[in-house]
Amino acid sequence: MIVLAPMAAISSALFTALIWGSIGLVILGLGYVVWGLLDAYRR
Amino acid sequence: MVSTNIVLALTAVTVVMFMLVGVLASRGRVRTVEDFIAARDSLGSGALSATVLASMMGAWILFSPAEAGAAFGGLPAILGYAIGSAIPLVLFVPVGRQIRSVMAQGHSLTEFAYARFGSTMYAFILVISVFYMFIFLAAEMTGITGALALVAGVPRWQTALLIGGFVLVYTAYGGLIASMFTDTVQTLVILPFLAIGFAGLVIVLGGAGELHAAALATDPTLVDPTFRPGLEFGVYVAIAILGANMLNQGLWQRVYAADGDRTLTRGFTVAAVLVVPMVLLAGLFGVAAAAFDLTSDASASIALFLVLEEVAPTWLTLVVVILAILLVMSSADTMLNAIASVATADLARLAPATSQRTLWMSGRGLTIAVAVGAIAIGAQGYSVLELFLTADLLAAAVFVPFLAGLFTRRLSGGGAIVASLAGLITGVAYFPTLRPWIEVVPGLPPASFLLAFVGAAVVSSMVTAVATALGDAGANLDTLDAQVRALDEPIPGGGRTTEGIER
Repeated sequence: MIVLAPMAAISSALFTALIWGSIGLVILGLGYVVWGLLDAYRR
Repeated sequence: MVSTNIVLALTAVTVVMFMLVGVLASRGRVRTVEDFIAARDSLGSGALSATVLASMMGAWILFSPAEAGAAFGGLPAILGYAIGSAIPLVLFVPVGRQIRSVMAQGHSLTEFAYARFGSTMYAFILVISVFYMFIFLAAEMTGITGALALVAGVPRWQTALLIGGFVLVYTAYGGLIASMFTDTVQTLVILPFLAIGFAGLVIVLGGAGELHAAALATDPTLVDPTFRPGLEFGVYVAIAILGANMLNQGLWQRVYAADGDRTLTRGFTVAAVLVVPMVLLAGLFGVAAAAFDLTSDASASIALFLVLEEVAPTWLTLVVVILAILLVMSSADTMLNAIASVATADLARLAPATSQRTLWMSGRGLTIAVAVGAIAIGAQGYSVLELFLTADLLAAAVFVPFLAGLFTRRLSGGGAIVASLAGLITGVAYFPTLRPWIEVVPGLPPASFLLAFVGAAVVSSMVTAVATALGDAGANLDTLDAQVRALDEPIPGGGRTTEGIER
């Protein structure tokens, strides 16, 4: 258990990063689509 | 359970709004059959990313990845699903550039199959592609009718009729232009709703750390990235998605819609990058459902909705309901127009004397016929999973020799067919779904989805390589474009110009 505890903490941190990183990426993607549409409109 | 009337009203408002968007956006712009099915060189990279994303991401992302997370191997299964969903879009960058190069004036994948390989391979591709797209459409209708029945008790036929009917109106009226414009607007709603809906669900579940701890306590394999069954599932689902999407006419149409090779590269790449977190997030709610012991194997496909019903406040459920409706509409309009475009382009070739107006009316008629079929199936709530897997297997066996024809002059039609059949025989020999039909055959290997999909793709690739090395068909890729019939004459009495004059 002493060895496994840090592993679980790392795994939990990675899992958290996976979830919030994915949500962040979705928002970034939305930004790209909006930027692309505005750019096309300006041209 | 959320009120049936509220969900019905929300559905009605959403579909009517997008029908108006589709009709107004395409009004006066569909003047030729070409406009109805091609919209060539018309999109910048932002709009292309949006329409590719919306077309590919149906309501299936709310069902299948969560099912994979809950029942087929937890985190590695979802990762395979997410990465597998992005691979075809990445592959469409070189493939799409080649399509635009060798058949610049083409309309459909079947036109290419006929011009490059002849009638047998054409028939093969036509059947597999249309079968896959129709099953996709029917599965979308089945998924959304089931979801709204679960969260709000909406009768299936009402959901199918509402969504199918209004999507049909703008797709039959405005064709590909309406489909792509609504896709873009839908993506602008889908992405924030997805972020809000999923972030909200994580928070009401107690946060990502709590979710991870619950999964570890219930079943540590749910969050073990090296869990072998999950990895195996990830591999075969990636091959299944790859094959099927390379034969997805909706994506071929969008290759032609890009306003240049640079736009194609950026649009498909951004869509590929975005697909990964979308599928991943949806899948993680399957893990959540399993972690909190909300699912059994039988209910794994509705894992995300079980989580919603258990913990989500009404507003969050309604956000996911709108998300699901938009996901269905954006992929249903794509499939409707894609199937109509394949048939219209083929009719133009098979019957050269057919007038532009007849072709245009055929396109619309087919759109209606396909939509009616999908609504009828969706209202019944049949399971289409087995048909979906069968369509995926067929595509997995065929896509390599088919696409090889874009890059090599040496591969003949016969070679492509032999490679496809070899892949298909291998795949069927291992395929669990078809096992009851072929059990009489002696010496069959143990049934396995992994070996069926890997076998189909690898064997067809190997035979394609041998046929390419040994044969020299001498196909002239430079003359393929000459075999395409132009569809850009104005339709007499058809579309209106922006000035409102009948053409």
